[in-house]
This record gives sequence, C-alpha cells and structure tokens, in this order.
Amino acid sequence: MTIDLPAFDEVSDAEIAMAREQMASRLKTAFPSTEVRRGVIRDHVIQNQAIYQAARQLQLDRYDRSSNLRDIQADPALSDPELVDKVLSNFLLTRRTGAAATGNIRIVISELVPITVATGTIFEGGGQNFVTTEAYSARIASSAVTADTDRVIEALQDGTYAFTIPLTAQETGIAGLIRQGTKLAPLSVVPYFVTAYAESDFVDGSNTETTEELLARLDTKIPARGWSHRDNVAALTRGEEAFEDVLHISVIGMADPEMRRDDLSIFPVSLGGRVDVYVRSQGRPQLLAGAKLCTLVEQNCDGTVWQFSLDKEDAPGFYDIRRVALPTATADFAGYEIIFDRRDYDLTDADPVPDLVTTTDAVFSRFQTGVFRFVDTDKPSGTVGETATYVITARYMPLIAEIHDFLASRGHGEPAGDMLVKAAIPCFVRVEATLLIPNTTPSPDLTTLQQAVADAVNSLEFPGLLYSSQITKVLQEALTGAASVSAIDLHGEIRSPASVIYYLRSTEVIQIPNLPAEMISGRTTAFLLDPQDVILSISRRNFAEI
Amino acid sequence: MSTVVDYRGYVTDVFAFEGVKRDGMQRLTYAMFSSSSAGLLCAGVQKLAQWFLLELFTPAGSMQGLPNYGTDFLKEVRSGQLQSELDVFTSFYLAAGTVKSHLQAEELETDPLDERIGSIELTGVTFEDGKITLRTTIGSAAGTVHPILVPIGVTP
Amino acid sequence: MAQFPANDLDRAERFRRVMGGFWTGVFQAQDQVDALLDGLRALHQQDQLLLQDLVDTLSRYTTPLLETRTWVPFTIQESRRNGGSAGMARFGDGYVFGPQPDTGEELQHGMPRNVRTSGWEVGPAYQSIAAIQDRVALPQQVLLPGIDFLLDTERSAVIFDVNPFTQPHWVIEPVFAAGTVIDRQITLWFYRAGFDVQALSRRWGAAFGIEGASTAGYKRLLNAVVDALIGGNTRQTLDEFLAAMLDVPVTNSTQQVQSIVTDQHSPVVITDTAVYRVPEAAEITVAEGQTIPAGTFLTDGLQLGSFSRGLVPDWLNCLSLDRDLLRCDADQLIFSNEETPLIVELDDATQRTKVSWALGGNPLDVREFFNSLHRRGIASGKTMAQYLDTRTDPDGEPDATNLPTTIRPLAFLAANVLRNNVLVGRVRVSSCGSSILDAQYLKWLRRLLPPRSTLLLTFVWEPTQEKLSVDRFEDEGVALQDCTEPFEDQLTAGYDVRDSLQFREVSGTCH
Repeated sequence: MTIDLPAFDEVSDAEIAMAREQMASRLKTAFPSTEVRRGVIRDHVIQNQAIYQAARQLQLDRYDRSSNLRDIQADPALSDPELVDKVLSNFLLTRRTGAAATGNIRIVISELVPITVATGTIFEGGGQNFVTTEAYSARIASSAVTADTDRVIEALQDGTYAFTIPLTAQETGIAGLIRQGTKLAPLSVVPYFVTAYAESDFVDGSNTETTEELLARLDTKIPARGWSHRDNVAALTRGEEAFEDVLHISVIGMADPEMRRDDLSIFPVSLGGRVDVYVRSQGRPQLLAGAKLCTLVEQNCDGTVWQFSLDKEDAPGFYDIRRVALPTATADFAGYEIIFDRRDYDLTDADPVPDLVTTTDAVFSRFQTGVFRFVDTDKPSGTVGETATYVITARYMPLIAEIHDFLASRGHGEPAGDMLVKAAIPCFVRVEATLLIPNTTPSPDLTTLQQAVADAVNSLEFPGLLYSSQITKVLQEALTGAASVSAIDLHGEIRSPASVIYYLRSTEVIQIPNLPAEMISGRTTAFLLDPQDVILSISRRNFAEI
Repeated sequence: MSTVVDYRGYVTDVFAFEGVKRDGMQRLTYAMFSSSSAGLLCAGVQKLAQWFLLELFTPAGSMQGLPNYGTDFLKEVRSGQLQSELDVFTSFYLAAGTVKSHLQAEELETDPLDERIGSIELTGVTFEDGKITLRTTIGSAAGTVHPILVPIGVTP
Repeated sequence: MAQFPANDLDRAERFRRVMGGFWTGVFQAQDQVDALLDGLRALHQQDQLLLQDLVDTLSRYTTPLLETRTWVPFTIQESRRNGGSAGMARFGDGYVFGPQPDTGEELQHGMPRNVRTSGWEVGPAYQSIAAIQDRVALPQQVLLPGIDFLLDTERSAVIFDVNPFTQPHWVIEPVFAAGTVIDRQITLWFYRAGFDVQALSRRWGAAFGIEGASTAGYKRLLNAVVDALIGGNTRQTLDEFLAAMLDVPVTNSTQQVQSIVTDQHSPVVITDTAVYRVPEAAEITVAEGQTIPAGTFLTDGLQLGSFSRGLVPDWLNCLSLDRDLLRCDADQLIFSNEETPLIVELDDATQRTKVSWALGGNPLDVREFFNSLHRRGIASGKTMAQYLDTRTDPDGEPDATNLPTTIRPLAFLAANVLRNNVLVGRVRVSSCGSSILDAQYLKWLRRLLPPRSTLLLTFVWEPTQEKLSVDRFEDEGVALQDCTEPFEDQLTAGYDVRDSLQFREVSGTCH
C-alpha cells in the first residue's frame, strides 16, 4: 500500500492507551456488565483492537496530511511522497526522477600506443566520480577501428596524444554537471596517462524532485497549457522542465501576415490551421563545432572548393556557418570563406508531418538542412571527389528540435493542428560606442560593460525596435562619476529565411522591417547581441572642475 | 454451578480456565472453551484470582502499550535463577507485591469487596519433574481467603 | 508492486506478540488464542483493503473499478427463488404474450419463469464473486463461478446450477413468524465480492458531468476528457477518447509488434510492452516485426488521419459533407476520390465560364452547390474556372482547352479547403470491441477538439446478410421496389406496427 499500516512498534504507548480507553468505554457502554479493565476481554478484544486502531490512526493521519493540497503545501516534509504523487497526477504533474550526468572527456597520454580503458573505470573530477559504462579501446590508427567503442588516438601539437571517451556520473544529480575543462583523474591506472579533462559541459544530470520542488511547479502546471491562445502555447512549452528557461516565444497564426503556410489553397485567403512558433531559447546563439567529411568539388584560382552538408540533426534550426577549418588549425585561424549556402528541408520520420511546401518555410526549423561550399586557400589543388575532414562551426539557437518534437508529440500536439517551431529570425546586432571618461577617473571594466549591454539587448522579447537610448542607459548606469557616453552606432544584420541579408544602421534606432512575405517582422525577428560585438572605446577628456 | 442470579451486580469477565466446579479444590486447565463447554464467565474472587495470575505470569513489558503491566517472576523461574525455596519466596513476594499494588491502584469505590485485593500469601513451594508448584492463598477485601495451587513449568 | 508481508497484519507472530507473554507463553489453549487472532487479523486486513481502495481513489488513474470485500455474508430465502430480476421475464427478453412458441410456457404477471436453474436477486452493486462457500473456515461447499453459479450482472442475480436448498451440507435455517416456520434460509459467504460503488463516477465523473458505470472503457474515457480539460487538447487525448468510445486498441508508446496470434477467444496482438485483444471481425492493420509509434490504431476499427499537406488518406474513398459544413442551401454532398470529368459550361447570363463535376447526393443539392460556387466566384472577382485556368498568363475567360479535363473531387477538397483544420476518421463498426460506450459520451468529442477544427467520422456498418426468397415478399406485405430510384412504400392498417425500426439493405441477383 502507498501508505502502509505502521509497524506496531512504531505506535507509542500513549496512543495505544488512548485507543484502549476509547474501546473500553464503547464496550462498557454497549455491555455494562462486561469487565473491560483487565482480564480476558481486555487482553483478547480490547488490546488487539486498540493497537490496530492506534496504528491505523497514524496511518490515517499520514493519509490525511498527504491527500489534500492544503496540508501538503503547508508542510511538504510531512507528506507521503507516493500519495502526493497520486494527488498531483490529477493535475498531470509527475515527479521528476533523477538522472546521472554524462559527457565526454579527453584523455591525454604521453605515448602513441594502444590503450584500453576498462568498463567500470572510475574518474574523479569536480568532487564527483564518473565511470565508463563500456570498455573503450584507443587505437593508433583509424584502420584498426572495428567497434563503436574503439577510439582513434590523435597527435597533439605539444607531442602528446589524446582520445575521447564518454563517462557517466556514478550518482544521479546535478552535482555531476561538471563544466568544460574540468580536470579528471582516474582512480585506477590508465597507462601513459598525462591528464584528462571534460571536453564539453556534462549534460542530463538531474536530482529527483522533492515534494517542495514538485509543488513549486504546481502553479505553472494548473493553468491550461495548450493551444487555446498564444500565452497558453508559451505556458505549454515552459511547463516542461527542459524548456523552463526558454527566453522568448512568439506565436504566429491565422490572420498574422507573417503566416505563409496557411495560404496554400487556390482560394486566396488565409485558411488558418497553421501555427509557427518562433523561439529564442537563450540570449545569444550558440556555436557548435563538429567534424564533417567534405568533398572536393572543383578548384579555382583561390584554391580548392569543398562541399559539405548539414542534415536536420546536426545543428537543428541553424542560422549559418561561422567557421570552417582543418582539425589541426590553430585556435586563432578565422576559417575558410563560405561561398555557397543552399538550404533545403527533410521531413523524413516527421510525425506529424508539417505542411511545408517551400524551403523558405522550413528555414530555421528543425527540418532545415543545408549544402555549403568553401574555398580551402591552403590547398591549391586536388582531385575532384577526394574527401577530407574539416571542423565546421555552426551558429544556432539551441532546443529548436527538442521544442518542436515536444509540441508536436502525441501528448502535447494539437488534434488536427499543424505546428512548426523555428528559431527566431536573427538580427545580429553590433553596437559601437565611445565612452567619455575624465582623466581623473579610472577606466571602467569594459568586459563588464559589454556583458551588461548584451544582456540588456538580449533580454528584449520581440520588440521590433532597438533604441540607442536603451544602450546609453545601460552604459551610463554602469559608469561612475562624470563619465558619459557619446553617440552610439547601431548595426543590424538580418538573415532572412529567404537567404537575403538586410542591413540596418542608425545612431538612434534600428527597426525590424515589416516584410511579412519573407516572414520578417518585429514579431518574428529578435535582436541578438554577442558581448564581443559591443565595441567600446574610451576617450579621455579633461572636464573643468566646477 | 453458578446461576445467573449469582452474577447480579457483578461485572463479569470471560474465565480463562476450564474445569471449575462450585465447591472444593479442582484441577483447572487453561482454556476459554472446549468441546463440552462454550466457556464460562467469572466474577468475584474468581475474577480477582484470574487477574492476579494473569499479571503475575505476564512478563513485564510484554504487552504493548502497557509497559508497567506484568512481573519478572516467570522470567526468573525459567531462567533457572530460583534454586531454592528462599529464592522462590523472594521472587514471588516481589512480583506479588507489584501486582497487588497495581490492583489496588485500579480499584474503584463501586467494586464489590470480594473483587478487591486483600492478601497474597505463598504458603509452600514444591520442586518436582521440571515443575515448580506454588501453594498460594489470595484474600479479598471481603475477608475471604482462597487457596490456589499453581504449577509452573520451568522450561518454556 | 505487491509485497508480502506488507505489514504486521501479515506477520501472525508479530500480531500475537502484542497480547503479552501470558497468552503466548503460558496459556495452554494456544489454538483458541490463534483462532481469535486469525479472525481479528482477517478483519483488519479487510479494513486495510478498503483503505487501500480509498488511497487509490486519490488519483483518477488508480481509482479501482470495483471495491473488493474478502468475505460477504448473503442470506437467501427459499421463497425468493427466481424472484425479482432473477427470474421474472423482462421487456426485451423476447417473450410474447400467451404461450411461448417454443416451450409452450405461459408467463404470468408477478410470477417467475419456470426454469430449471435457481436464482436469487443480489442487487446491482455486485459485479464479481470469486467463490461462494457455506462458511468462511473449513467449508463443506465451495461453488465456483462459471461452473456452479453465475453472477448475472444484467439481472443483478446469482444463478445457481443446483438449488442449494435441495443439497446436503448447506446449513438451512427455518424462518419463524409467530412461532410458525414460514420459510427457510441459507447464509452464503461470498468470497472476494467485487462491488461497483461508482467510485470513479462519484469522485471524478460527477465533477465534470461524465457519469457512468465503472468499466475500464469509462475510466479511460473519463481520464481522456479530464486530461484534455486540465492539460489541453492533444492528439493523445483525442486518440484515447475515441479508443475508449469505440473499444478499439491503440498504442500509448512506440512499440514493436512481436507476434499476432489467435487464442480460443479472438486474435491477440502482442508487442514488446503490451498485449491487445482484437475483435474477431476486425482486420489487423499492423504486421509482426513492425515498429509502431504511439497513437497507432491496431485494427480497421478506427482509422484516423488528416488532410494535412493536402493529401487524402489512402483508406478514404469518399467523404460526405453535410449541412453543417456546407455554406449553401445543400445537404449531404459526397466527394469521391475518383478521377471525374470536369464539366465546362458557359453561363449565359454572365457570359462567364462555369465549371462543375459529378458529386454524390441529391442532384438538386449538387446543382445548388456549383451555382453557389460560381456566384461567389463572380462576386469575389475570380471564378472557380479562373482558378483552374492552366494558362500562365490568362487573357479572357478560360474555355475547355484551358482547363483540366478531370478532377478528383476529394483530393481537390483536401488540397484546397480541408487541409488546414480537418481530421477524418473511418469507423468500421463490426471491428469495434464489445465494450463500445454509450453514444451519450460523444457530446464530449466536440469539446475535445479545438473550436477551429473538426473531426469528420464516417461509420461503416455491415449489416448481417440474410437470404430472402422473393416469393415471400408478398406475404410480408412489403412490395418489391426498384432500388435504382428513391421509393416510398405506404404501410396500411393491419400491419404489426411497432415502436422500433430496422433498416436493411436488400440486394439480390436476378435469374
């Protein structure tokens, strides 16, 4: 039973005495000539019944505390978790169970020799233990790779070697979410071991939800999460744990001029029935690097032209390619120039299949794919058809695929509905400003100021307008003394779904143009500002003392 | 045999022994009913004696929720600690005193005199065949004294 | 997960211990103590079962359908044999006034039927009884359901194969009145009797106005509706609602079909996580080894799809639009998915090209539909003919050479009109399970759909085929009609007119 009968040992003498008194009193009232103080009736009838009743009373008290929301909320710690789960299940609330964090680590070794890291090898890092769930064999050449668990050892520029394996935290919980670069050490011998570090942030670690945390979600869960109106769609999305922190959501539907997918009939009217959800999951886009096999397609006077493609799972909803470089390239290499960018879409395995008939509709959605070409200026010649691996860095808005799959899923999708999640159309912003600082005032921390400006711009929802005064306000509040801000130069670069670049520039305000035929408007396009694109210069001035 | 009239004004308990007769000494067995009897009620000094024996032979603290009920007498008998008559007398009177004090504490003004504890005496002890037989008397506040012969198995 | 021992009631020794050392170590008649304690334990365990039911009702997902009581005494009186609902003829049982044609039995008002079996009315709450005994402990009589007795929930009666009053071993007690024996009675002990205390309906259904008997289908439907009300309408809630209504199997997660077998009852679809029983008449639409996503209906009992992307589901041959959907003075037009010639005419009044095509339905309605379409086109500045014009740079009204020669009416409708908002379903009634729910719940369907969408359900009935001799038509008083045209038939006085109707599709072969 969820709330089982307490063991008789758990029942106190006082509780039993009280139950015994009640039993004896009732029996005496019903049968006045029956001896209830001691003796056979007391021992056989009253005693047993009293202990059971006392235990049952405890059981009922727990039931009572755990079966109504008011008492559960008053003191969650007193409530039985399983009973609380039953009560909250009526509101479609389910307790989240904990998960162990996972991630890849890079193991650096001193010699180029085959190494096996056995199953169950434990690495300690960040105060947590992580374990291999399979045996991984590091091979000295790719030709020796025969299994999924084989890894190729790569030479590093400093003469050491490295390979990558996945680890899983031994314990569930967020403590296992170590950050990229966290050092790890094996608790058993790994031959030629030099060092190990987290290749990327560990992910997926979560704690089992406490009753208090579960209750905290109640407020956001009880309101309708559905497709009734635009706020409900946002609530539906953010009601899911993984999307709680999604920054901005804009829902485009029937009679919105940006909605193009409901105009596919020969009747020239908006027929409705389509929803486009523009999502900005975080302040600024994320860069995702990965190795891609590229094919040489031609050569020209600048070098060799290579082609690669991104499928819909590589960087779902990606904006553009920021860098293409060889794996051995140094970090300061800017990358080769992209000379060809053609988008397409792939509806394989989509369920339900969204009504997409043009590529433009699919751009920035989780179904977007792309074919790209770049010129490798360091390789002047080659054979058409030959392949090589390059590291591709894509710029994208995270969670687009996850949110689409969630909203389209059977448990959340709208009956007869057709919904498409897209990354907010990007307007990449650059801000240039000169700070006028008196000679007597120390220089401000520019990194802090850049971050403050970026945070301010990125916190705007879908405003359509970005005023220089908003930037000035942020900077001025951060400056001290007589320091001030000169005129601000705002630059915007909109990458439209139709692959057209629109440039905006103003010292006062940049405004998202209203181009609904291209789905561009203030409701679909977001200002995205990287702190590095906040260009601040300091001008020292002598201010007259008054 | 008692009649219903005999119990008028008494509060009765189920008798935990079988074989009782109206007069004289009888050997009783522990049973609440049998194939020939649907059970008996008891009152008066019989109930008093039953109360006394039940508590005397209940190990102290063995009834949940009644931590003070019972004595250590049976435990001492069965542990082999009681090797002589003197040992038995000492242990018995200690236990009987405890029971008596409990009974007196629970007495009500309305209780008949023959259901109120008067005296408890151990008049003799016999050791035989792994058994200790106690010759006791129990007296009520009404002034009557009744002998009880109690055989106790030494091994549990 | 059930666990034993679950608590101290399951531990006999622990339960004995609470009595103290005298009763467990000194008192010699241990069997008497044990008997008493076992009885008390059984009572307490029953109490715990009831409490478990109470705990389970906290969640509408775990609310039990029946309340189970381990032992229930039930007294039957000899004079009540086959009385009440247990043996009386009821309306709808198929009896006729006067002597029965087959047995000659003549029913009398207020008197039970003369049947061999012996039944006693038990009340409508009883839904199951695992066994019937003459006493709880050491029984001499143990009757098993389906062999010795039957709990007829329709009649709320227990029907015995053999009358207990004629059997030895049952303790038969006389019933006295004024010192005279007026009847005899037996106390039966029902083991694990399941009662429908309407827990689902009272606790959850009543709050939402969805009341009903506690069946698995009702529970599923109730949860689908409440899920939709609380969590919003989803494909899953709609699937669950329809599956419950029609008693058709649907998957709740991605599953792989392991095997499809037929046991002694009906076909069974076995997946890696679930087993689905399928009505015998149903056609299974999945195959062994197939991986099927959540929301897959496993039979042709219900096929559900949409016109999203302008495509017609391959199982849909035609679709009927009724007056609710049509915005003209027409009713029940049938759009087939066959290639149909496009009819091109010149509207003499306006000198505009008018197009139409064959539709099912009343010819007057069809004509009105296309007239309305044409009128609206003229009013809006572009006619249907102009929309269908194949010229890239039209100049003037299109004629037949500028227009497609054929059209697929349903495909056209799907691609241009219904693609955005319409779900479509095909219910093959004979493939649905036997636990189909009352049509009263269908009213919830509308509330489970977003107001801007609709679901068009097509029901396919396959009437039982009967062979009729043409010679008998005259005897039956119904004239043979030419079925190629609508017909009317007048029922004249003298026919046995009843308050029910039966529709039958009659077809035949001429020799």
